[in-house]
This record gives sequence, structure tokens and C-alpha cells, in this order.
Amino acid sequence: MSKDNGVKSWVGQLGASISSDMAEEIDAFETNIKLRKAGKLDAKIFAEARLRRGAYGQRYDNGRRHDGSKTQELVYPSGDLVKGPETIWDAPGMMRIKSPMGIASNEQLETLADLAEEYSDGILHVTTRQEIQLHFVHIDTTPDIMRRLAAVGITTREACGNSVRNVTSCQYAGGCRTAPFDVTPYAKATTYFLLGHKDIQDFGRKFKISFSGCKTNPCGMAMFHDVGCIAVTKEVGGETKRGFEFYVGGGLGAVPFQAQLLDGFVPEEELLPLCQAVCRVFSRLGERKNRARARLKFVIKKLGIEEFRKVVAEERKIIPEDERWTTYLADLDSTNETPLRPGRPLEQSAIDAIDTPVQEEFASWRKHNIWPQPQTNYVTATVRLPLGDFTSEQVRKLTDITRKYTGNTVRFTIEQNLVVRHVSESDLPDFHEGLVAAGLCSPGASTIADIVACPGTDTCKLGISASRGLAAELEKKFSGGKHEDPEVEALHIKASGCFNSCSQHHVADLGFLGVSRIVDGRRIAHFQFVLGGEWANNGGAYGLAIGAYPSKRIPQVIDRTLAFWKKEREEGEDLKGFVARMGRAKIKKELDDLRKIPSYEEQPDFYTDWGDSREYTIGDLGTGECAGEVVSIVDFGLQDAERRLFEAQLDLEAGKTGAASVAAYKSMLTAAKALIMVFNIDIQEDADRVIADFRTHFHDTGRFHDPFAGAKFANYLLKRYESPPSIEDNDLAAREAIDEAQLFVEAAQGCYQRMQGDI
Amino acid sequence: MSIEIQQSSVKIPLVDSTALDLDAFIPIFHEWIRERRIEEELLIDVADYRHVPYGPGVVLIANEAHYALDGSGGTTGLLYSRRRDEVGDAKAAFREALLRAATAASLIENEASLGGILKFDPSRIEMRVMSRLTAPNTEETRLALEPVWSGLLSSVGFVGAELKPQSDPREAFGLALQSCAEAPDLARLLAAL
Repeated sequence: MSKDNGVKSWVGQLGASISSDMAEEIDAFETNIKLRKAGKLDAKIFAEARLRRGAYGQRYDNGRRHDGSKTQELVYPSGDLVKGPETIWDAPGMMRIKSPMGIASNEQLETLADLAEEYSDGILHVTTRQEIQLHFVHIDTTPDIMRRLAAVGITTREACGNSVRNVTSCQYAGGCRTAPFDVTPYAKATTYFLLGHKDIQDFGRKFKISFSGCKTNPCGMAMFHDVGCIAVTKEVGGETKRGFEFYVGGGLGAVPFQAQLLDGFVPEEELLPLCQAVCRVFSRLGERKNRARARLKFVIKKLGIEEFRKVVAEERKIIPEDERWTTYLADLDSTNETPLRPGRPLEQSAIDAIDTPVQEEFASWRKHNIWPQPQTNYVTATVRLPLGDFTSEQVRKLTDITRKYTGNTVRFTIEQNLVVRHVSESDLPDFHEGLVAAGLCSPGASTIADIVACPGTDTCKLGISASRGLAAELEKKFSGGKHEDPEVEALHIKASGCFNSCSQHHVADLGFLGVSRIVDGRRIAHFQFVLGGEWANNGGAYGLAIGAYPSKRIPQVIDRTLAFWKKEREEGEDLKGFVARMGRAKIKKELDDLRKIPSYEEQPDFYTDWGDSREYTIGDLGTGECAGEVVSIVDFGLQDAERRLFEAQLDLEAGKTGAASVAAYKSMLTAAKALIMVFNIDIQEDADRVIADFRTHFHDTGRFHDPFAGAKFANYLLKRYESPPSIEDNDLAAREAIDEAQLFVEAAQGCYQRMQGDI
Repeated sequence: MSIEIQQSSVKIPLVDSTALDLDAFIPIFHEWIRERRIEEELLIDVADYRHVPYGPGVVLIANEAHYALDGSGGTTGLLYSRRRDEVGDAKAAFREALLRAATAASLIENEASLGGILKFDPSRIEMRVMSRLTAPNTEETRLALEPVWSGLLSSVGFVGAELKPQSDPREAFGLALQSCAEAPDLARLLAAL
């Protein structure tokens, strides 16, 4: 055992197994910890430093927790020491660990398992960006976690903060029937070319890149990434050239945007320089102050795709040549995986030999969890992980299985599962038996039972509703069920704890995002229902917001919606088509009675959320650390106003002029309410209350007044309040309402920035 | 010679694991936090892993340690896992972990809402040291730590304890009580600690 100064340490233990660059970076981070503890490093700077190393905050890290009846102080031993604004040093945090393309080797998996046991709670959580998160981690232990990861080739660098996040890719890449070629080496090259690159160090916000093998399947999700690359080939001079359809400016969150095509064919040698050019443009033109508009999608919205294309092309011309742009192309086979065992077909006699009780389980598992590969007699098996969770013990059993049957790697998926590739079909019964023994044999991968959920109120500081609690409930409801209708079985459910869309609810058939409502003075967890998104075609379309329903009624909302669809659908009409034909109003009417709230006395458990016995509150909401700077509840509210405004614009485009007017007005009320929360956290929804408080705190004091336009924008709201919009409003009225709302919401953003002393 | 270890854990199995209803532990652990039932600990949160097969079930998260109704390793029981701030050398750390685990198990046995259906069986008690830095799963570690743990068990009423080390070298070092001529029940164990 190596020792440093007579004390055992991972520095001494791991020694040369960590590259000198990585060792230096981690040492520097550990120094920052010491400086911060000594009061020699500003808390905000330290916060940014840890975020760029993947160390996030977690719920209750401000030292307060609502216990169901009152907020209790959590008195940590570290006292006043903080690791960021209002983030207590000793409070448990989350560690996000990058795994580019979701790939993890057996050795890496086993290291992750060790870390989960030693520093977390024994659970590895797979995210929708194909990474691993560990929760309840103490900041003091993070340098050792980083060292042990570095020793097996994993970095947490730029896992969070304003940087290029984990590059994702189709989990079937290299074993896919629909892809023209394997995107893995290109995704890998992009990952390591941009990691730590000087051109990505000054972003105003995060930046996400994905790679898809084809246009139709939902693996890479090009349409909601800042940069989405889809593999294509082209005949040039009698030769098949590899390249990419290159999409830019997609994104989810409060204001979802579909990506736009920047270039229909980017030759492979131009992939990295084009990515670099887009990054440089984003770094130069991306918003800095208004965080709600700081993603690439807003740059493109402002410039238009044609102008953006020109700017990127100009940027591309002036980037100094870099040999790394093409050196990897000489070794594209380096990421190939070689099957461990010869591919053989699965004979019926082998199935018949399975014990009878297990035969049905095997058939059920095989139906949805197997993906035939183009390589003859090989399949990819999906290991379904309920809510994305598995244990250290399960990891070790899994690596026993992969070492025996397949080889050295697994890949995490954006559906929070993992896949094992190159399984010989003849091995499937034994492979399945191994999974059964490990408790990793859940059938129904990528079906209605395979629900995706972000951490929500379980651990996220920004969670409003219990997305994991809801997902667990729905999973119980749908798992093991034999669905008569295969179209129902094929649907996808995704639940986010807030509008940030970490579960990717916009592209779910049945999507949910956490909101809350106050009824009779009591706050109740709700979910906004987003219906009819498209999971296929790289997330080809976003769902329609139907309305907010009490959290405890969501199972009924789903049942009712599916029954309505099955009853009213036309021949061959899928849910997305049904929603488009039927429209929001009819669906909403069908669900209307489910919005009713029983009294507290009648049904007190209605006032709790799924998986949590405490009476519901939003008092535990904290300050977000999504991108290295603070995201307050006011920011949230302002983002919500943006979302409503966006919905108003969609209504207008769809010819629903009255609905557009009403939504525009609601966006103003939402923005006003957000500002009021600075003074009154419990401000209620109703317009009378919002207007009264807005007058008191913002209009009469002049606080809201624009430095140049004075009370003009505030009066837009007050005018609308006196003369509310009508569902009968015509196109002209709707356009006017949206224009005014746009100006009001922007004025609200400006007001909040002034209040923060940003201007 | 004193041996320094970190992250010691103790698991006290349930007599009848089929009697365990994990759902009941969501409100129970929230109530423990609300009423600060474990005075020595800063209780923080409840982590719900009921959906994970053979997993930690429901976990009570605290500043120094976690308490789980754990189903790993083929044994279901109360798992106390120290995370930080060990109290001293291995002997002191094991004693502290055993005391905290037994205290929590006793609280569960006496939990009114459970009606006394859960009982713990100290005769199958397990110990681990999660820190692979201070206690790698090797023969050297076994030679160093087995006498310490064995001595502690003897001092609190276990007679003729036979210990079995964890066989998978990838796992954290641990010792399971395979058999013993006499083992205290939970009340006697607590009294002896």
C-alpha cells in the first residue's frame, strides 16, 4: 500500500495510473477545496469550479427542509462554511460522471460500483444524457472520486457548467441495421477534440451534441440538440463518401425549439472544424446576462438560419488549421468491438429446454429487450433499469455476465437503461438466466412500462413535483401487463419535475412536467400534461400542452386519454395524429373533471406527492446550479412566462387567435407573479391578487418602469387586466396581445436584472 | 496496534424478511427526521429505492451515515453504513457502527405503526469496511480486522462466533457471522454495548 507522508491516500495508491494532466487538474481542484475552507476563495468562484468538475448541489443543501408541517433547520457541523451561494459545505451533493456515447468498460463499471458504495448510497443512476450520477456525495470526497475515475480513463470535466456536455450517440452504433456507418469514432473524436478546448471555455450556457446513425429511429435525438449529427453517405465521383446531416439550435426546456438543418452533407473531414466554428460563434454571439435566452437556439432565432449559416461559414474560414480535425480518420476501426463468442442461432430446442415457469418470462423479455444486429446471429440486449437505478452488487453480477458472453463494454441509453451488444443468439437463455439472478431482467424495454424520469423532488433543488414518485407508480401500473393493443404498449411516458425537461417530456407520447397549484389555501402537486410528442425521427415533434392535473390523478389522466384515443381514433391513426386532429380543447374537455380537488378533510393524501408522505410544499425549492450561475425561483417564473408566450405564438400560428390572446395575457400575469415572489413567495394564481401585488411592489413604486419607456409596459398588463382578452379575439387582436406580452415579459426580465444589480 | 479504517458498516438481518413492507418505511423515516428520533445523527432525507431489486429499499440519509432496509447479498436487514467522521480506530469504529445499527433496529422493532411484526436476528450479523483504501479485500486485511471484530462480538455476548469473509475480491472487505453457539437478542446486545 502506497502512502503519502505515512497516511494512506488515493494519490499514493493510484500513482502513475492517472495521466499527469488529469492528476494536475484534480490536484488543483483539491487545492481549491482547501482555499475555500480557509476562506481564501470566493464561494461563487468555488461553485463554478466544482460545477465544471461535475460536483452539483442537491436538494436541502441550503440547510432547510420542510418536514410536512414546518421548515426545519439542518444544522451541519460545517457551520457557516459554504461551497457556493447558500450551499452548505457538509450538505450532500450530486456527482455527475461523463461517459461519452454512454460507453463503459467492465473495469469502469466496477470502479463506479465501488464509488457508489463508498461515497454515495450504493446506487448508480443513469441519466438521459447517457451518464452516471451519484447522489448524497460529500464535497470533501470528490477529489478522490475524480482520481479513481481518472485511473480508469473517466473524467468529470465539463460534466456541468457552461460547457460542452456529455456527447451522446445512438447506443446501437456499430450494431445497427439502419445506420449507413458506425458513428462511434466520430462522436469520440468530437468529445475529446472539444474537451477542455479553449474555444468552449467562455460559453454563456451549456451546449449539447448528439450523433445518430439514422434519421428515423429515436436514438441520437438530433432534433433537440444544439448540434445534432445524423450519419449519411453520398456518391462522389463513383465513391461512397461518409458525412453528416448537420442540425443546429434544437433544445427542450421552457421554450422548446426543433433543430434546423445547417448543412445537408458535411463530409467527415469537415465535422470537427464545423463543430468548432459553431462553438466559436456561440461563444461570441451567445447571450450572457439573460440566462433564459442564452442557449444557441436563441442566437439562431435572432439571426435566422440563413444568416447563422453565413456567420458560421465565415468563422470556419478563419479558424487555424488543426491536424486533429482529421488524424482520427486514419483509425476509424479503433472503436470497433469484437464479439467474444461465435454468433450462432437460437434453436427452438434450446428454448424448450428452459424451465417452464421461466419460459414465459424469457419470451416476454425477448419480445422487447432484444435488437437484432446486422452481424448474423448477434443481438443487442437491453437491460432495463427501473428509473435508471441499479446497485453496485448488480454491476458486479453484470460484469460477470458480460465477461462470459460478450466482452468488455456496455452502453447507457437516453432511456436510462443500458445495452449489452454482440450477444450470440444461442446464448440468450443463459444470458437471461444471469440477468434474472442479478435482478436485471425487467422486460418491456422502450414500452409504456419503461418510464423515464428526472430526479425531481427526490434530489433536485429545482424539482416542483415528484417525477420519480410518479414514474414508480406508473411503472407498477404498466409493468408485467399484457397490453391488448400493441400501439398502447409502444407508447413512451416521460416525467420531469419542472419545466426544464430533463426527462425529455416534450418528445414523449405522454409527457409530464411538475407544476403546483394553490387550492383553498393549500398547495397541491400537479403535472402539466404534454401529449402527442414524437419519440421517433430523432424526436421529430413536440407534444401539445393540454393542462395541469393533480399529481395523484395522473394515472387516471392516462387511462382516460388512452381510452379516448382508442375510442375515437381513425383507422391507423397514431396518438400524435389523433392529438393533432382532435385538438387541445376536445381532449381537455374529456379530462376536465380530473382537475377537481377533493377537500383536505375528505382526502388528505391528495395533498401529498407520490412516494413522499409529507404534506406537499414548494418550500424546499432551492437555487439551481444548472449552468454555473444562480437560477432563482424568479428566474423560473420568468422562464415559465416565456413558455406561455411561446405557446401563445403557437396558437396564433395554428389560427387559434382567441386562445393566443388569452395565453399572451397569462404570460404577462406569470411574469408579474414571478417578480412578486421576491416579496411574497406564496403569491397565488388569481389575477386580482397578482395585479394588486404588482401595483404595490412594482407599478406604484416605479420599480418596474423602463428607464426609457417609463410605465408603458406595466400599463400593458394593467390595461389587459381591466379589459381581459376574449376567446373571440381575432387575428389582429391576438397579434397585438402577443406583441404587448413580449414587451412586458422582456421588461420583467429587465426589471429583475436591475433588481439584482446586473444593470 | 490500532488499525485505522473508514466507512464501516453493520447489517442486522430480519428474522422474517417476508414481513417487511417497504412502503411503510417512507412515512416512518420521514417521521424519524421530523421528530429527530436518532439524537446522535443529523437526519436529512429519505431516499426511495423500492423499485430496485435486491437494493437498499428505503434509505434514511444522515450526515454521518445512512440507514437502509437493505436486500443486497441475499440477506434483508437493517444496514448501517458510516460515510464519514469515523470515531477512532477499528475497534472503536466497529463498536460505534454496531451500536448505531442495533439502536436503529430496536427503534424499528418498537415502531408502533408496524405493530411489532419486524424482528431482527443478531445471530446472522454482517460487518463490512466499505473503504477499499483503508481495508482492501485481502488476506492481510482479514488477519488484521477479524480479531478486532471477533473480539467485539465476544465482549457483547456472542459465544463461539465463526466468521466467514466475503469471497468476491471485488467486494468491500466483510465478515459474516456464519454460526455461533450463543448470540444475544437485540435488547441484550444493546445493553451490552
